[in-house]
Amino acid sequence: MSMRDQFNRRLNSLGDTAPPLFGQLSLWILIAVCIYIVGDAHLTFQSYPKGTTVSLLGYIVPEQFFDQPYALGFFKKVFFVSAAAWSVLPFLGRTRIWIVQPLIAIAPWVCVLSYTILVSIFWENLPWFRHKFIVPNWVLLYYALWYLFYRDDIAASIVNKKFWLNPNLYPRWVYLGSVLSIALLYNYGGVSKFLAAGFNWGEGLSLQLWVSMMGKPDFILTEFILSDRENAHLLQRGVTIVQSFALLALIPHLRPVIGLGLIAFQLSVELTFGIPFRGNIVLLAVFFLPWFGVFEGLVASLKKVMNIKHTGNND
Amino acid sequence: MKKVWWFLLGLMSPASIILVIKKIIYFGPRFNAKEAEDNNACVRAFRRTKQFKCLLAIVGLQAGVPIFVGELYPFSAATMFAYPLHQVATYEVVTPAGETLGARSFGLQINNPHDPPLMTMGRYGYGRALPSTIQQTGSAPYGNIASEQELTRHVQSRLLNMTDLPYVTVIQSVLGPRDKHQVGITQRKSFKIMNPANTRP
Repeated sequence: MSMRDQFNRRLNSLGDTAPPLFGQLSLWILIAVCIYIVGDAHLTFQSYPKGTTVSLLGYIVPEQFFDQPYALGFFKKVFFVSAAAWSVLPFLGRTRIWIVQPLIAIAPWVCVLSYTILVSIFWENLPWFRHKFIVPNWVLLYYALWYLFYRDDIAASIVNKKFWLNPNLYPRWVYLGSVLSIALLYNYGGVSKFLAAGFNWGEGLSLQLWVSMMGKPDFILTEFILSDRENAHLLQRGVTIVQSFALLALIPHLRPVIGLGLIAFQLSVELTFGIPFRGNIVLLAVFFLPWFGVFEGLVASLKKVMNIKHTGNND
Repeated sequence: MKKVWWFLLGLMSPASIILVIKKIIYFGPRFNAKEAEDNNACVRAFRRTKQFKCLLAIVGLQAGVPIFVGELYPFSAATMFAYPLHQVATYEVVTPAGETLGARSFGLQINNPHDPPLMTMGRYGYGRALPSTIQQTGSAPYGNIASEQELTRHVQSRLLNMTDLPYVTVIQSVLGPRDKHQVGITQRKSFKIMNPANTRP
């Protein structure tokens, strides 16, 4: 098979579908992560002088919008309501299709937009960046696109109470888009280190300085890094390699290894520096560890059991 | 149900109604069903192409904007810890009475020591401006140690508003490599800086 055929085959397989069990469970986890991190959005630094525009929204709305003390609270409420509406959609089987269909069309997009707007307001009022908000935003967008493109099929399955085992509902591109979004953020983290300092980035000294300034003094990793530059050098090199090759997670066999490496990296950052990336850790565990395959197997065996029961009843 | 069919039939133009009837007469109802199926497949393929184009555009934006345009939420590259430090200065300010004042009130603090300088890697600054400081002036190199002249000029500009202080003692500690294995305070200097506001006649 030629390279072109292989590429076309892989491209076509992006449209392959699976039952939405994994998709819906991961959506609930994603929404829970978003609700958890949105709690951190605040306007503490609103009194500081305005810096520069750091969000796309900043180029769309006037600058005075970000000085409003109520905008953040309002969009938080909108986000919570729309996220709740999106989460309960599969349970609306008893309602009419004319109620389900508009909800499917509206709730996911209100949810994504309100999340993007409220984080933009937060960033526009912040004297630094908070990168933990980015990945959930992108994954949320892929899930909203899923609900948009498959709205008719999803609505019909919900109303007919055949949502969970319908094999035509969860397309592969939603899963791969989520993996790509996570991998890309880490990949750019690695690339930015190379752009800033080349191969010298991981020589160990800078990590020792950061740890001595910001590290938790009693933590074992802090002591390990400060005790010898070679230890810091080893860890820093490891981080650069895992981050720079994060995009290889698109290859299924390498995904769990890269996922575990990135989870270890994020846990170390939180435990050493106290910079939390818990949302990213959860999403890495959901999308990089082989749960998608596990759930596909689970659905297949569930179907088998149901078929046996069905034929048994007929006998 | 019949009413619905009549309604849908009413939406078609007279020419297309005649065409459908002709097809049924010439080729039979099976042909029509097959044609409808083909049409559906065509529509599905069209939708799939549309979806892929949309996804391609999103992936392009996701990958391209942080590199070619800059930090623009939700398009962003996580650049934390990108610029390596080689040394860094910390400051203490002591009054004539022996009281230690915060480095922040004299603009000697380090803003975000783990973040790249503000105007690098596609950045134009943060959403809100942090209080200015002698450290991290906005561009690389990162972690420069201020000279005595720079420090004196900077602290004296702050002392102008503190007329009750005739002078302050600024202690500059440089954190850097102590040897090949460990880091620590490599240099500690003390500067007595007079208040120009207090010495004026």
